[in-house]
Amino acid sequence: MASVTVKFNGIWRLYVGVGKAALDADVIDEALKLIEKEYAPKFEEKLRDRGVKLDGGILKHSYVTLNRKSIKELKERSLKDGDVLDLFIAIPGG
Amino acid sequence: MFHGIGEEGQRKLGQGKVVIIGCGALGCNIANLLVRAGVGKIRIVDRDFIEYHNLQRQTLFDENDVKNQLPKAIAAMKHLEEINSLVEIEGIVADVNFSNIEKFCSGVNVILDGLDNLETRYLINDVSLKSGIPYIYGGAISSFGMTMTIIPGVTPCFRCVFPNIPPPRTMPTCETDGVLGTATSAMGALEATEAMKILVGSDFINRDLITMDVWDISFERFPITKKEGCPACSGRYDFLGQKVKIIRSALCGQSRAVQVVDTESEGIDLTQLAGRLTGVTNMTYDEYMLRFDVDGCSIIVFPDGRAIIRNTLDESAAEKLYFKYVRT
Repeated sequence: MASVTVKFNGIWRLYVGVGKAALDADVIDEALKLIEKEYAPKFEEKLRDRGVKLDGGILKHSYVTLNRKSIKELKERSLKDGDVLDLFIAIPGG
Repeated sequence: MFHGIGEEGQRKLGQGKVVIIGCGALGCNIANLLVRAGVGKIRIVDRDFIEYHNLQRQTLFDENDVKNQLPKAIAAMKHLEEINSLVEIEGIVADVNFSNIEKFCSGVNVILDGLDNLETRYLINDVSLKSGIPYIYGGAISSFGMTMTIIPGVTPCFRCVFPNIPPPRTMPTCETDGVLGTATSAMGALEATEAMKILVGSDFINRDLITMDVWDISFERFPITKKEGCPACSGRYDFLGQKVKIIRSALCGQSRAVQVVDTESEGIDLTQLAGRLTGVTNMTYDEYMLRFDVDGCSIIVFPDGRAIIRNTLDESAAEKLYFKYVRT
């Protein structure tokens, strides 16, 4: 298992309540499942507080990078200690 | 003179034409900086009017604008003309949607983002790719900001990076979560700088996703890549093609308000409407808008035929009021 840091950037920080978190996983997709399991309920709870019901989680709306590279581009899916996953969602305000 | 622009660059700025879609906090800062930079022609499109709570961050406006009940696009134009009379400024009071966005973006070199919602950004992305006009995305909320520059056919587009639009009301707004005026100023400055670089033909145009937090002072850039099979990059403009007659939307800058737009409307004569309204109170009107109170709501009608219904978040109720009193 690799110890990985997950950073919730911008709006995600508002919605899940933390800016970063640690998790242990061997590969990217395993880390993403853990993120969804742990934090999607927090997102949905926040929306419920605002009177909106949504099932569907975090990752569908996220741009995700591993060590600043889009995970879509990465053929190597294994993780190592110290890796950083960043999650972004488009900022709507202005 | 700044080395990145020089005399030749300044001449190019003077020949440049841009459109700023939305004139809230981002749009004010962008417009202010580009007018002072001497960009030749600036079109500003905004649907809203100015309220006191806007003044914390919408840096072109003042208390007199609120008292005079001016639309943002008109007030911005008046202030900007006093800053640099050499710049041609066109203020347009309108809701931007599929039916008019191509007209608003025609003939410009750059589209700048001063918006308060994601839906219109996907629409602009479509227009940018279809027309080949660069689009500078920028957003801000709380203490956060984000920007990317879209050069059609060259860089990833907005939809490459964020392929799925979040459902309505799932995203925070400036109203629900607040926004620091310094965050919108910083993002506006970045967007304006990108526009200048495009206009002068600089090699330093941003190719990354830039994120920023002015409160914890972080500024980061992340490489982005085109998404394989991106519909918009493949010529499928889904958002531009979503043609609907009535558009109902909650407004970011208004505490409790719904805007109702009839996209087939050819406009409303406010004087005629004032003459036929009965059973309403507190009615006032000028060339820009007509206001009245009815059924516990305040309704503001614009010459382009749309209305903002305040004191409700019920979109169906707002549409009923619209058809009962405005589009009778």
